Amino acid sequence: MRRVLGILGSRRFADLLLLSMAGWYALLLAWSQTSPLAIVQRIGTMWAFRGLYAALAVNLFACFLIELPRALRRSAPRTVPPGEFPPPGHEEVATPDWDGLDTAEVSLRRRAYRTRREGVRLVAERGRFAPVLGMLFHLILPLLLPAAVLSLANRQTFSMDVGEGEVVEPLPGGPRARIGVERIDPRYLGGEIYFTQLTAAVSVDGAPAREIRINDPVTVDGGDLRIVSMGFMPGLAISDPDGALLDRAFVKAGLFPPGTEAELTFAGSPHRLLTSFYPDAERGPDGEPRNATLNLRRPLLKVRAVRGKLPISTAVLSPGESMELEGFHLGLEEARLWVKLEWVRDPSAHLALWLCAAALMLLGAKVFWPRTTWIVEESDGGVRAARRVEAPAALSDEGGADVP
Amino acid sequence: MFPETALAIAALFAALAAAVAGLTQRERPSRYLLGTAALVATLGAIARGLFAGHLPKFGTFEESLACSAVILLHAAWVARLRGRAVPAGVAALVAALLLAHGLVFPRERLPLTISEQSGWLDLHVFAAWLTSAAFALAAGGSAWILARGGETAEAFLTRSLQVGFLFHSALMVLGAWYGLRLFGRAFSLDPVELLAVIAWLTEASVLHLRAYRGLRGARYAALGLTAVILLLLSFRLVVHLRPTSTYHVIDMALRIHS
Ligand code: HEM
Repeated sequence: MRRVLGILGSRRFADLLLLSMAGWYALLLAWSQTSPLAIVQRIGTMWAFRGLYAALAVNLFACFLIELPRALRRSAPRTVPPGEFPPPGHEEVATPDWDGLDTAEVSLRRRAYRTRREGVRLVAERGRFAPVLGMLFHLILPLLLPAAVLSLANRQTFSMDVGEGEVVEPLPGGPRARIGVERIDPRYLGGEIYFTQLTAAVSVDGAPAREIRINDPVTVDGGDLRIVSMGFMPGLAISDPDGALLDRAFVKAGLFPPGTEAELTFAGSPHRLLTSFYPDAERGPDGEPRNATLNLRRPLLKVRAVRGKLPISTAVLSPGESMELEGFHLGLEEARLWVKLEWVRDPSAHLALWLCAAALMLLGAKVFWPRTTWIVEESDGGVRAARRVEAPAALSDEGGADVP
Repeated sequence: MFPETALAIAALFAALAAAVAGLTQRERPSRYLLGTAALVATLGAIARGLFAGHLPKFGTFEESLACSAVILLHAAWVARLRGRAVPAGVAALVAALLLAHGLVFPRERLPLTISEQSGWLDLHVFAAWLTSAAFALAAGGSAWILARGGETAEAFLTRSLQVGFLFHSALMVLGAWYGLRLFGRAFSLDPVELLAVIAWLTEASVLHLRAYRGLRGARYAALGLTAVILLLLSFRLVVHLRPTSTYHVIDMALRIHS
């Protein structure tokens, strides 16, 4: 049992795994330059790859079990044998502002040292548990694997297109909440799809609206709801030859390029409508609409109506205008914006990131809070002090000696 | 020419001069030249930030300028100690290379697009600059070992790699967190992430070999340098990759909308 643990948690195995992982990722990188991301992702989740992750997790965990007792032993308080000054491993340090052990004690305590008296000496220590922190950092890493597996297995996503002013009731697979979009506010640089702003005021279950962005989600039903894209939606109404309203519908027009054709049919009408939307249109010399900017300012909808393959009529409508369709009337009532919202519920991903944050704290403490010991003793009229920092610290004046 | 472009060019020459002075171990001139380069690059980065109206992180030109400023400030701080001329000089050389690379790219001042407007992204970028600063000094530590050897040089390399590894880890965690906010996914095998993980695993391997396998001397210097090169390439290479393969091209003119 002990031998198996020793092999699984061996440092040699760790070295091998770390380098193999780096090699694997290098291969994936090469692939990503010749194949689409979806294929890279498929390769990345191949069994061999999963095996490597699992092996690393096992190795890390076993390593933790083996190394923790050692790290604890290394963290034990040490007594420095009296006599020799500076004691072996310590370096004498000048301390002009200490005139006795008491001032030294106060000053060191203020710097988060634990102090104790050993005979005529003051001993101060901090960062004693640095090796344990290092091993706890290693313990967190294998926990990321189950978190990642859970995230892949349980991640829920749902997208919905919501028009400005619209409220969407809960849908199967989506968040259990009524989502209303009160206002959508896009800004662009010039006439291009270069967004300098895209916000939507979203109200959840009738609560006061909160502004969300592409990278600033609102939490709904345990998931994050954010904007992923937007577009325009001209609203049309069709009435029959007697003037009775048959139906109302919105065409969903993408943002770019303006004038892309979208198709629409109405129940009760034999026509297929091929529509092109221009949010900020001017008419060219030929009377054809041309788009100036992507702002919803002067909307125009070009409609080509066909029956079967037969062209029936073509018209360019502003809001409030209508056209004849073999007796039917087709009117453009309004044009507004819509946003595509995506809801992602992935608590395991959040958990994994919290674990990472904890790992970072541990690593940070180990790097910036090395085990440091001070020995201070009285010497004719003043004090002398020696210090030992148990980590290389050659970036500052502390630690390593200068090279002549 | 924009003032920040002039400052970037001036910082490039000052950094090159500081590198020469450092590598030839002329301590005093190297200190002054490094201080000058750091000051000029910092002024350039601040000017750029003020003119563009945001943290200089958007486009290889301004990002390299700010990154070099952080590297040079850090190197100047280290060079104030005796005997640090070689590592600080190498860090100055790294900064000069970044500045030169940045100057090749479009320099127009652009407002941030929506995907770049976030304090989380600013933290991520800061972590990247600190990572580069630590690793530029690690390159210096490697050169120092190769030039003269000795315990102090090795401790310097170890410390730089440790600090660099810490900031690199922070950079990746912040990147994953921002990815979750922006794309709804923390990790996606995007080339920039693959490159970062490759460099990170290499750093961890070098630290391990040093910590428990007795890695010392020229071999340590060579492996440390390998980790540094991978780390620096992990970001600088991205703009040269197939544009459709990554979301991380920070130059608007080179970005592919998909
Ligand atoms: C993704 C995987 C790993 C990463 C990122 C990693 C990272 C690190 C880092 C940064 C250090 C600090 C080195 C230093 O003090 O200079 C370290 C130390 C160490 N690692 Fe790992 N490690 C990993 C996996 C492993 C595994 C699998 C083992 C077990 C065999 C292991 C065993 C050790 C040991 C024994 C130390 C020395 C601890 C000390 O002296 O404080 N590591 N590791």
